[in-house]
Amino acid sequence: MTSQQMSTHVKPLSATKDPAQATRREPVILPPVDIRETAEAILIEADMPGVSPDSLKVEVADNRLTLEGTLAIELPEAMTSVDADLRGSHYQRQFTLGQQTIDPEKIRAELKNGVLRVFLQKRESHRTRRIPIAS
Amino acid sequence: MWFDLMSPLETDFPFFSEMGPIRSALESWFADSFSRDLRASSASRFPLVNIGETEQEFRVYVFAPGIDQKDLSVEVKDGLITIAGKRATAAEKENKETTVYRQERFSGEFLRTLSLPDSVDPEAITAQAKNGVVTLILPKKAALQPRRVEVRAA
Repeated sequence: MTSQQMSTHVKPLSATKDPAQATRREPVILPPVDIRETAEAILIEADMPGVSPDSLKVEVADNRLTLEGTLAIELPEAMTSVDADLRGSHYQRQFTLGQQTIDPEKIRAELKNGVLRVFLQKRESHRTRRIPIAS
Repeated sequence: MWFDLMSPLETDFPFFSEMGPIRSALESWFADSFSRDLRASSASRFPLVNIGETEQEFRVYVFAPGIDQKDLSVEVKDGLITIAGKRATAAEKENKETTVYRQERFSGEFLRTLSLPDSVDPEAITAQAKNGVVTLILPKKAALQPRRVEVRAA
């Protein structure tokens, strides 16, 4: 075996070390979202079960909307995990807002039963208006 | 003895397609987690379920956001726990004319089944809901719980 063959053989082994280390870091949970637009507003709904209102953060900076929250559930001491569909405890998702369309001063959010709803009001100029037709 | 029970519903949960490889890697590294007593049917379904165990009990955390209590049922029968219910679709909730850009969240009816280990007392199971997470507490039968044996001085 030449040294060149050796190095190609060793490479994937060292590469497998990285994902192993990556899993030790807590994965960020990307909440699934529904996004809908009405004539007046854009509505984002995000599934964030286990997030309490005080750990929830909805922030707009530089046209970027960030939804963040911490999954907090009561775990008894000395509990071991048997099976986990959901790994990690930090929810985060970001969106870029259209500066022209969205009025950042009029963003409203509510959290109910683990579902976050963010209402993004459109600027007056971008709303759908019905023009009356004169007969 | 446990079974990997199938759910009749297939859901498309986008973030699980990303988490899938990590999950399968973890499961292959900790293969012994498969030999545990209580296990849910496989991932990428709704609702997501985490299961934990202490000496006294099992806990099943059902992540069921946005579901009214009346739309969720938890049944224990023949050694199985069935979590069933429905979540309204966006279209059902909205009357106004809307444009849908993304629809990643699960909607419709769901059903997940877990097999109960023999060590659990089915009569003693309780459930409570908070912030969209339903916690099932499954106490183990008293006879199977660890007992502290007192050592007396002779």
